[in-house]
Amino acid sequence: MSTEHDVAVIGLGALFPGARDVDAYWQNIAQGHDAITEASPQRLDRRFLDPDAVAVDRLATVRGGFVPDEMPFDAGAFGIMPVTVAGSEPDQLFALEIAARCLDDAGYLHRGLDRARTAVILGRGGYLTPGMVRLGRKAREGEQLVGILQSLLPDVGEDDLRRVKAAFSAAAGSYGPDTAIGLVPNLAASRVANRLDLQGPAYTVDAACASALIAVEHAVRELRSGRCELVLAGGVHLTQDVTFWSVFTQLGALSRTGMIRPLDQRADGLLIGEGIGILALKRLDRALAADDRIYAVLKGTGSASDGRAATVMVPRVDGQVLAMQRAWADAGLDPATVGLVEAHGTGTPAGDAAEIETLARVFGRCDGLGPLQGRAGIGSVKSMIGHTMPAAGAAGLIKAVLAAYHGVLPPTLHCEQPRPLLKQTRFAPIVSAAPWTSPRIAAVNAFGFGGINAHVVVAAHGEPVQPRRPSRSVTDRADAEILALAAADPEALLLALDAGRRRGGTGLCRLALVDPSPERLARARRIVARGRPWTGRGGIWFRDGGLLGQGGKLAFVFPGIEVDFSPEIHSVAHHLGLPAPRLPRNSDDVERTGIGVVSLGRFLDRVLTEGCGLQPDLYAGHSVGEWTGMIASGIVPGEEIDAFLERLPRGQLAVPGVLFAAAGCGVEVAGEVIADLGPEIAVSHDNCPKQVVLCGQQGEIEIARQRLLDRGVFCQILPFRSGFHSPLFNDYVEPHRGYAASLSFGPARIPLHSATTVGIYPDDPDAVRSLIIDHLVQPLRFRELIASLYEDGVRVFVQLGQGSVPGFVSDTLAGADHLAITASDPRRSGLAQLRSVLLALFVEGAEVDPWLAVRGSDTRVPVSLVTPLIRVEGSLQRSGPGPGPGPGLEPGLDLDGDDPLRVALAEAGAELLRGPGEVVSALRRTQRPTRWVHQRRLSVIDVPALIDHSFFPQAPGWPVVSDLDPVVPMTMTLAMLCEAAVRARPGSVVVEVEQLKAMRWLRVEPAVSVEIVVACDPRDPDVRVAEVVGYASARIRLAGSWPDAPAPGLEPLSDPQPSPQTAAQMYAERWMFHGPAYQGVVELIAVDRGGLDGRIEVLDAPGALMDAAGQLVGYWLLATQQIDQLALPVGVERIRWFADKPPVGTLLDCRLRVRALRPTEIVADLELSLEGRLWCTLEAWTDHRFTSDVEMCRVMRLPEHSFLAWIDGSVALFDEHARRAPSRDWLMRRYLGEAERGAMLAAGPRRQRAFLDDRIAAKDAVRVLLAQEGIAPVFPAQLQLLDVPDDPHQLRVRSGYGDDLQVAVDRGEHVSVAVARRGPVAVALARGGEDRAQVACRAAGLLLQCPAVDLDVVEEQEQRLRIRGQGVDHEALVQLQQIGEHLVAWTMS
Amino acid sequence: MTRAEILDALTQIVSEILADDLEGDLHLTMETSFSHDLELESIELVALAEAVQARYGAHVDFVAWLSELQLDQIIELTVGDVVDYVLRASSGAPG
Repeated sequence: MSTEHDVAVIGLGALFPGARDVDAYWQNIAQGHDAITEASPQRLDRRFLDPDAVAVDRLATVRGGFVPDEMPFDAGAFGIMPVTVAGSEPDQLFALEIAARCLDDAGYLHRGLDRARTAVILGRGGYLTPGMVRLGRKAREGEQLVGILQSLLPDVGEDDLRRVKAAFSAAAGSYGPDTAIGLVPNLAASRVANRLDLQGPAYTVDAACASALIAVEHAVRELRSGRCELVLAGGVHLTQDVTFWSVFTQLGALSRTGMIRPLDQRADGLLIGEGIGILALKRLDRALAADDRIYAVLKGTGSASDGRAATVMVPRVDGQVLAMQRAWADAGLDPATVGLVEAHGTGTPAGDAAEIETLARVFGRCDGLGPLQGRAGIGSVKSMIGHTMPAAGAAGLIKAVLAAYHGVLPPTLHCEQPRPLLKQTRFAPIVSAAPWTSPRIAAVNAFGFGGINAHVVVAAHGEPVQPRRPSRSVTDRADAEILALAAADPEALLLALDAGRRRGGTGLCRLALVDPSPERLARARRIVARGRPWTGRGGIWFRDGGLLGQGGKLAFVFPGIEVDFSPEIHSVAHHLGLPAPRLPRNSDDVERTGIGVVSLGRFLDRVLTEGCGLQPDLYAGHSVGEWTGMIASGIVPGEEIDAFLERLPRGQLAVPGVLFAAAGCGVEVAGEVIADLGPEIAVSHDNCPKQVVLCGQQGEIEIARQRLLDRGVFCQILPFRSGFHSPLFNDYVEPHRGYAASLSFGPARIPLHSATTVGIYPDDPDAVRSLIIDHLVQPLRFRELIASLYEDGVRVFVQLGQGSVPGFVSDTLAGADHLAITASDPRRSGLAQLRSVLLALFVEGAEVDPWLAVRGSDTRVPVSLVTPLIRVEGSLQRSGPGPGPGPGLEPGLDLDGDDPLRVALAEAGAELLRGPGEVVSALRRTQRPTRWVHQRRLSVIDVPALIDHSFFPQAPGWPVVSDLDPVVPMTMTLAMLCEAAVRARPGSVVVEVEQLKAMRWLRVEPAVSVEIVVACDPRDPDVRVAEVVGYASARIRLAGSWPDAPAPGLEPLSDPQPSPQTAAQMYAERWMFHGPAYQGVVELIAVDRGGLDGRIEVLDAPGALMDAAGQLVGYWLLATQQIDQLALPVGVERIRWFADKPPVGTLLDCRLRVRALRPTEIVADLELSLEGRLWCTLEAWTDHRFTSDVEMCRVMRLPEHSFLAWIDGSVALFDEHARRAPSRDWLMRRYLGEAERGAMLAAGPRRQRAFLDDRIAAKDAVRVLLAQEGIAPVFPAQLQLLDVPDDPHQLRVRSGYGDDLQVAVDRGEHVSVAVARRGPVAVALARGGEDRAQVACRAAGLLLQCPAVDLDVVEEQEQRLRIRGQGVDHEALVQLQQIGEHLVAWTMS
Repeated sequence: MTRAEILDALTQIVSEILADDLEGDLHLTMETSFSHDLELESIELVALAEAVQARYGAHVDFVAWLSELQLDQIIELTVGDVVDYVLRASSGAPG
């Protein structure tokens, strides 16, 4: 037959019980894996099970072949709105996924596909699929249920019935026009064509169990005729509905023993399987021309119907024989050449008997009745996965194709006692996998109910191909799920694991793993419980105290040229939307490989920095990798290195006769070995203690190698030749010198460390030029470099490329805590390896989201195949039919087990236990709100603008960020929530936010990690409930576009007055605490008792625009109120947007109208408009008002010019009760610096009040003194006060204001008093009952350090008393002062 | 010396190289690949070679044997290959 006649199988896709992909499917087949299990109770409720089943709703068994009840579907990858997935027919979604994987396997998913001539033909039945079941419930059964209730219980009121129906309907899942279209049966094929943009014919065919092979026959015709270039053909069956099982039970076809034994004499029926199998088919000549991979060739197909048989349900040998004869005739082959038959083999006695008879007739008997050419193998994959019905032909054909491809006769199960008749055929069941020698020709049967028979003849193409190495390592699997958890300690981590958490948490005790299956989680648990670090073996990472989190540095290290260079980068480039560079394949050409190494390194640098938001502390490189490092660090423009590499002629880097040899020893041993070999050999690379590379002339290298082997040292000649990093390159260096001179160099943005100098790259261009030349001829000191980087604090090394850098690092740093990992690995896809890198860095404490490397992490939606019985719980809150409950009706609707209503309801397919109300149903699974979780790190480093949103202004340039107390504005939190909601539904916009609530300040110093959770609102598909966990929440409404703007609705001001301040003054005088990034108010147009008009500018800082609107609310309070002016936003009832955010710099008009002013809050409505059109409205913006008075306000905004204490001369007296202060926390933050706040909080609650009051008085006393001395205004935080040991009445000022500065304090109930002086000083506050003399003596006693009782007043002049001790000549002059109700005595000398 | 004994010894050596001390976590079979399954770095393979040689003595010149292999052969090296080599070498057959 010609190659135009033959059809090549060039791609495969499969989803079958026990196998999510083709590789797993073949592995299961070859290993004889039995994937038959019991159905989950959600799939088939056990109440249907009855081994003696006779009733139509009873099943003989619940064993069968099942794919998982719920599987993730990456809606985003196919441009399907995640929200529509729940209502879609699952087989359409997975047919699409498997078709795409099949096309990808063929190599045509992303390129080179002739879409106009690509067809989709899928076998699919018209059975009750999960989507149809859900539709039936929605469209008919609710009414059915209500109708029965109504007729049996006429007293039930209309309202109750409506509620019953609503509850039932809600439990049946969401349904709307978008889901309706998704339930049309042919969409299984059409959706593939639609989403993959294929324009050949796309349709489903139904030939019962022969469907898939009939589809293949259609495909073969399309291809042979030349109408199509490529066809995706196969079968789909994803339903295990009880109706389907009932049919097979009723027909007596379902095995009552729960075993499927094709061709075995004990067989008593079939078991039902499910799955999808798709083959990419192309004419052989076209496939050969395109150099496609060819699994096998379809030589011929044949089909036939039984004609007028006795009954359509009984298989007829004649029709089967006819189909097979047609296929072999089509193939032009002798049936005797067959080596393997994949039987239809359902395991029903009648079916198996007929098929064996057919085989005997077509292929001959071995009892002398026909030709015999040795025995051939027979089997049926149904023995492993059950009967997959319309997909069965695809399951069998894929098995046969792979058997031919790999040259393996695969086993069949449970056929230990073959039917006697089988012995008379040429076929024997294959007991275990055996090599298949030629001719590798297979035949596949699929026979359908109603007498439709199909047969396909398959031949191998070329030599057997070893099976693809099934990804034994989970880290290889691109679609695996991941887990990344953080906690404070291992115990907390174990608790999080026990709670089933997969992501989130805070702390530096972290665990990450690929594929969190139960077994792997158990292993991870043991690793966590052990507590020791685990750095990636088996795809698990764990460390309690991540190296980066504890301040370790991160180095990106570019590798040099290595032998194995076969990176896969397209998966990463495609996933992150970055351009993929063209990379050369494995090559012995040093220059070409060098270009590849540099390109790959630059690409991976972009992936990690731009794509994943990581920043290394420094770069380094190994050999050629140092050039990559020069580009990455910004020392030299990338284009110049590109141009250089492009110009390099082949062989430019080679030195004739010079070889490299890798030796498994350190420099000492290598040095000894070559010591006497002269200048023609040298150590070129000192990689690590266990590896050096020697460079030398061939003769010397051979000698050295023999000497090393004699010493038992591993030594291997490397395949590429160059004299790099050795004196042997000296004579070849000249052209490079000229080239280096031509390059332009700049300073590094991020330091680059050199393995030539073991130091940082110089800034001076000439020094760089000279280093480049040294790099070519001097040995690489990589081991020393790594050791020095470790000394320098580097703990995590990421290799940006492929090579041995992680091995070198780990050998050099053996025993020291570090992590070394590669960002590219020839063993797996780029995306899979990136995932490992992100998981590892997450565990080391990096603020990175490992889900960045998980395909569809945002758009992957669980798709459920189950439609369990609806359970309606709760009790019927009867509204009654009329004025009261009818006679005999109990409020709770208690029904007996055999009550006719109960029976009727059971038959209606529903179970009414107690009546409706709130529906709590197992069906929730199918409409469970989908959740998305994001992590975000917040700090003034991550969001520099936040420094301009600090509550407590400090002296210019004040270095202690926590003293400023930067806080995330509520409006930035709002922006984060909106962003997260949109991420969960890309392409949508936020049109409305309701119930925005800020729960507490989100302080960002020290840096904080927050979790943002977005969940669907089960009642409204357009609403997301978003939360910054613990801080803020909102309901967010998404839409495809903005609604039309209504006309502005807020009334003009009734009594407009000019604002007391201009906008510029408002900021300059710190009426608003905001720094430049948040100074969005540009004009205060007018103000009155009812509101304010202003103008704001769109700024870049996160949340700045809305924050500026909020500032107007705060300003209105300041401008119109006398007390409690301090206010901060706590929520907004509703925000609506009517257009995209205007560009930065745009001016918006803002109207603010006060809706309510209460003692503790102000509520206002705002409108923001652009050129008269509403852009946004805010309803019920609410600020909480804080207790404060004018002085308090002034201290908050201008602390350097104001005092909280009363100042009387030199005395500062602070009376807590006399001040309206928001809280002690505010006072503490306003007055104390970071160290003092720490000391205060450490002092314990009882001491805190005195601690703070003393310092407020003391700082004010000192600031009064400094002001008198003419020293510039001082912020309270600038003065750090220290306790004086053993003297509670003295405080010391820490540095800067003179050693002689002393502060005395004394305190009473809620009052502290302080005096500051140059020189010794004491102060006393009169206590209850103390008179003038007593308090004066006490002050003097404090100064003279003697008991007050030993002192006497010797002279008194008005308020000035001279005091002297008995029998001593010390004396003190004490000043008395009455401040309010307090009498204060303090010493003047 | 049986294959099983050599396999046990190799398991011990590998577990020392990997510092993999999770009880019973390491299961080597004849098919286990050093590169694919154990993800051994080339440096670690050399350490393995030295450890094997140290255990079985000079006549098992595993280091030299490994040095002769092509790089792709080293990448595909399985536990079974090493067991076979040790068995051959210690029975005096040419390596």
